[in-house]
Amino acid sequence: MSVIKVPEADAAGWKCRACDAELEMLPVELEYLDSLFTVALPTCPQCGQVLIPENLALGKMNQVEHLLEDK
Amino acid sequence: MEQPLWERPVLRKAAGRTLRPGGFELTDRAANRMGLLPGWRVLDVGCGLGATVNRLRSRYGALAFGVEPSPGQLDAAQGAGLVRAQGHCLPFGPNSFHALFCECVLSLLPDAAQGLGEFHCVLRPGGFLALSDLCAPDADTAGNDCAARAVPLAETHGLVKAAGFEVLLLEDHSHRLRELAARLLFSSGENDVPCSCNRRGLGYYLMIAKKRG
Repeated sequence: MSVIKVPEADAAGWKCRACDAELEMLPVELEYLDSLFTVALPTCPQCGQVLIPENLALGKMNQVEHLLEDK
Repeated sequence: MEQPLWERPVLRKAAGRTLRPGGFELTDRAANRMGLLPGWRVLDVGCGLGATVNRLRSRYGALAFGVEPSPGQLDAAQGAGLVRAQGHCLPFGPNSFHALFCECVLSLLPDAAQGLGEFHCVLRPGGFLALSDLCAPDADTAGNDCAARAVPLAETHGLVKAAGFEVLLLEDHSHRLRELAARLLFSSGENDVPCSCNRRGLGYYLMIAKKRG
């Protein structure tokens, strides 16, 4: 399946503190229960550290978890 | 009137060109299970962008055709052999096809029983019906999108048998619907109208049936 682009996720203005590298939108695998999603998220191109913005974690990711659990 | 989900860009972003849960996995599963051979005449009802028609041609060597009522979808479709028509009123003679695919479309027909009667008519005796669609715990069909119009699987099963088919296979693929609903949720922006595919108890099935006679 193709990489999911989430409107709320944006790498602009973020730097990795450890590497001093600007974050880039790279595919990240998110696994929850038996489902796997490849989502573009702000990621350090050097060390691979991923930033999940707070509004995404508390918003859509939370809603997806509920959606997958509810059925 | 708002655009139906299957014509909105967000579905294409979330589901790809098949516009349905599971993509080609259930198409291939059905084709393999029925033993689809090169040269078979196959019809895809509600072919959308022509993805299944192209798949059946390129992967199985089928003489595949599609019908689709939406001019917008046909304009955006790829490939030949696509005809503008309603699924419950097919422009083909009796006994024309070896197999018929109806993927994520039956619940959208104005009259599912009439549609199944048409499918039965255009299939050859012994021809195969591959049906995948949403199902719901109750028949609360208020609304126009596929999720809102879903009916209980037992009801569909009864209609398929009443139309003159023998059901060969019935599988639950509800996890594929949940994954698509999640992809839609991830992909949707502030201005996207949410669909009702998070309706509680909604499921997804694959059924393969054979025309009796």
